[in-house]
Amino acid sequence: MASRILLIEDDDRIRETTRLVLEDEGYEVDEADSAETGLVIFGQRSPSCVIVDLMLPGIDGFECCRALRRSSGVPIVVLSARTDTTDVVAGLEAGADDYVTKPFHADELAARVKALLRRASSPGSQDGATPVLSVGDLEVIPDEGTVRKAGREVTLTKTEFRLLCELAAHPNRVFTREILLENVWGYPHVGDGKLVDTHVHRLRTKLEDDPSAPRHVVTVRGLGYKVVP
Amino acid sequence: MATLRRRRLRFRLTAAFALAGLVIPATLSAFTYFWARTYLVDQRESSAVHQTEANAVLVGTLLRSPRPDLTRLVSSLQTPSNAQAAVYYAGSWFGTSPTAGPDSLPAPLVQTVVNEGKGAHQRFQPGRRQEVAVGIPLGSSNAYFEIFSMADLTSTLATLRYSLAAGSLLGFLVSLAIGAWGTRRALRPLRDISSAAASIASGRLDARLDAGGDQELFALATGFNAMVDTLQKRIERDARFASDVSHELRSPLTTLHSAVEVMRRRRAQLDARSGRALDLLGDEVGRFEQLVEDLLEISRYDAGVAALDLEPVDVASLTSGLLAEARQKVDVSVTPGSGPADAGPAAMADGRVIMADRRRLEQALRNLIRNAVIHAGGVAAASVHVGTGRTTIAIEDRGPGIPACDRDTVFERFARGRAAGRRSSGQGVGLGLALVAEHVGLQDGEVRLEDVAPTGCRFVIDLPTRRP
Repeated sequence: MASRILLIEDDDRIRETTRLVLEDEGYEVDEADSAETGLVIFGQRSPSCVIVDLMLPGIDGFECCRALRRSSGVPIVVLSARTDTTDVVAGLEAGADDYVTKPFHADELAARVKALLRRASSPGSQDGATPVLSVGDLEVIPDEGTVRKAGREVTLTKTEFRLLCELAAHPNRVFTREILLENVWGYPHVGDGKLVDTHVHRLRTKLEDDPSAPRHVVTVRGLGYKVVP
Repeated sequence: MATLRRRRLRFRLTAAFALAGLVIPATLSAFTYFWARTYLVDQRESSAVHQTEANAVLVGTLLRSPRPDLTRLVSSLQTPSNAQAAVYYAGSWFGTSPTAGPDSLPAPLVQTVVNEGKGAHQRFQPGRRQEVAVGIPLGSSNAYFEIFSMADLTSTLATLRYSLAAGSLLGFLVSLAIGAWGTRRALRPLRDISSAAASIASGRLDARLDAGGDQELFALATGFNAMVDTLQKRIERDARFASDVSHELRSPLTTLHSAVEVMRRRRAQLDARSGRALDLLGDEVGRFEQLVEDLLEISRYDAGVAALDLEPVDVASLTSGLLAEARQKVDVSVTPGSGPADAGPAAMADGRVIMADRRRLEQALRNLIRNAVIHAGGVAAASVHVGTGRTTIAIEDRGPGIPACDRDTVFERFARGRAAGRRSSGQGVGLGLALVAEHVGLQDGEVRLEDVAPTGCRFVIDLPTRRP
């Protein structure tokens, strides 16, 4: 069955051509020209992925991401008008899993969506019975896709969860941003470290007692990240 | 260069002051000295002559007495302590001291006085002493002489000489100091203008001159500031224009690109002519997009809003990744400058990781690689060296090299080499290498072109090694 994608974009022409490309890739596309309409459609159609422009009239893309995140871990790709990193980082902080800058290539966007959906369809591990990983007071249960902190369940998006699993599977091993991009996001070689950095930041906000002095997911200066058990 | 020239101007002005301060007092001193010396010596000579004449009258009177006792006569003569007297009488010499005689008198003087019977005086220098001898003839072949030492006069003149020299030197030093101080003060506005101009040249367009200072400089300062205001407005407008246009072009380009993409999927259903037209359209849209992206990027530099975003970057793997992306089968030779190789992969990687603006470095490298692929038959070799001070990334191509005449301009915007002038491939947009230079420059690095004739040329990105 074809995956359903919600496309929230206020520029009619861009929305229409993007829909055409996504449909060519075999997706069913629901269109919305504002975040307000988009959120309503999201409730009705429960798409498996949302593409949202950051610059929207009314409720903007950032707020839209936060609204979606309050109820769902659905994969979100944001469209950023600028390559200015502040916008991109703000979008990712608002809960997006990935971003594409305008003028984006619809085929590249489709590839991103495809990677996101492939990851979303498979939980953190490939084989059936993966042992529970424990990191300090955290319990990561790959098969259930859940994390418990001191016994209480913490809601993570699928990308956050995969990132945590990747790191927690090998405690103390240092993962470079490139490796994490390839293993978690599925992009070969060249990529964007900010994607990793903002997701690590989000993980810390949800998992650490003091996100500014992380104990579980720590930065290895100049190299990348590791999980300390 | 400007600093040097300013220094030289300041130096020249100070030197002129100092020269005047040297020449004027020195000339005055020399004049004073020679005038004083002439006066004093003349004075001394005439007083010597007067005294000798007075004594000669006395001696003449005594000589006229019958059987004069010359020894007694001479010893009774009133001569000052600095003078000696001698009488030549009947072919014999009688002196106030044993030395006073023909040996202590200049021979020409004796000749003149005794033989020619004329009174005369002469300055002379027996040894290092200054003396003046005066001779008065006393009747036939008799004469009276006095020798005056001028030692006191010599020492007076020496003192005068030293005082005047010291005065001149002091004058010179004072004028040197005044010259340096005055020049510095006089050139201060020039220095202010030059530093303001330097700030403006380095991109700080808000630099202005303080117009509240001197009356004379008010017009200059306000004129300068007005010029910079106009310049700033114009630059900002130009920069904003390029940026605005590019932004506006993005949306239609996105649509165009997607539309072409949709048609490309159905290319098989098109006839040959339509297919070819679609290919052309697609290529041009791609080029257009690149141009707009580059324009946006470069307009950020023009507007002075390009902000450095440093993060740890493994330069070697970034380079090999980009080469793989461009389908260039080239091994990157890596020479890490530090980090012991046997300390495990982490330390190795650590030695290769520097703090850099990943996005910009990536784009710079991508542009160099694209340049090699489009214009020079692909990448022939690539190397990364992470040294303790500098990190270099070199991309070598297979092209014919760049002619010397084009080498200085390759990093200029829309500079097209003669070889690349034909646009046949329709790929280059002329901003790629200019952006490389901007991107690398923002990171305090430089990009240079090295000739590796006859095989091609090598672009080297040279960055400071900032350790994470």
